Amino acid sequence: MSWIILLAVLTGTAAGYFVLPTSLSRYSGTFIEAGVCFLLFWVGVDIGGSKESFVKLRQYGWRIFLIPAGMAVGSIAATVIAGRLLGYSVGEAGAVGAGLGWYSLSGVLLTELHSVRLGTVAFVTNVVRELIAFVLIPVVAARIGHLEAITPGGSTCMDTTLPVIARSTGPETAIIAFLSGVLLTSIVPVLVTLLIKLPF
Amino acid sequence: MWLCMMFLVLGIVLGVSRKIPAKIEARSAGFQFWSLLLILFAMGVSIGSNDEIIEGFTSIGLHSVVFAAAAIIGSLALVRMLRPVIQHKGEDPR
Repeated sequence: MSWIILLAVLTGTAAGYFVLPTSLSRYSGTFIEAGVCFLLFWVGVDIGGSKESFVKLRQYGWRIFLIPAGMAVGSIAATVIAGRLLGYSVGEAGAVGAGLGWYSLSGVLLTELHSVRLGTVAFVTNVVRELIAFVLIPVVAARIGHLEAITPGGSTCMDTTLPVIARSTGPETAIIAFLSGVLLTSIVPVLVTLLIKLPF
Repeated sequence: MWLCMMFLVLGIVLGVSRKIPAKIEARSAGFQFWSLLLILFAMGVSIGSNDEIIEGFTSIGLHSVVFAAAAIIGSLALVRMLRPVIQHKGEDPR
């Protein structure tokens, strides 16, 4: 599955860069949104048809919140460490990590609150995160575990990477991924704004 | 993306109430697979045709790859460590 995903993205990138005229490629956003709607409808049908998903959700209870919390803290801590090695301050690196895959928002926020350069770093970092997530999710699901397969996509596990998670794991994990994604998406603006204000 | 969320919720509601004919529901995996491939292709197109991403990648690509890899490893490692607390024994086969 990972290879097919990588091939589809790379073929698309090459087509967008070399072949397709701008008059066509500018509709890719609309096409993606329509496609994600169609796809999520069927993911929803699978989740709804699986009674066990809801039973499982109740079993987990409050512990379910540890997944998005772990994703946010893990992302930020690791990017701070990596950022220090690359010469960034704690606030700058933490804010890039706090984008959690939401490239459009973190890019715009950091361009406004800090600089065009850091905004671009956040934007490209989170695009790359989403791309790596597409390829990595099936591998993590098969080799490490279903709950861990939610983590690579960050906040995108409520929309774009949700179908890959659902396909690689099952409806039970998909519903946990969706809830985690909603929570993460709602805290991204807060975390990015707070972290970039750190004086160190 | 809120429109997409509404489609997800609509799918869940129809799935719970078993309103989709079994014949069509059986093809759900196929629908998902092919539409996913088309979306991924379109995502590639939007990246390839976006000068901001392509130019950004050539100037700060290495930093972005390091940051993205670190963010993924950090998320995965911490959730893995928390797993014994999140999931008690026997709750899930995996």
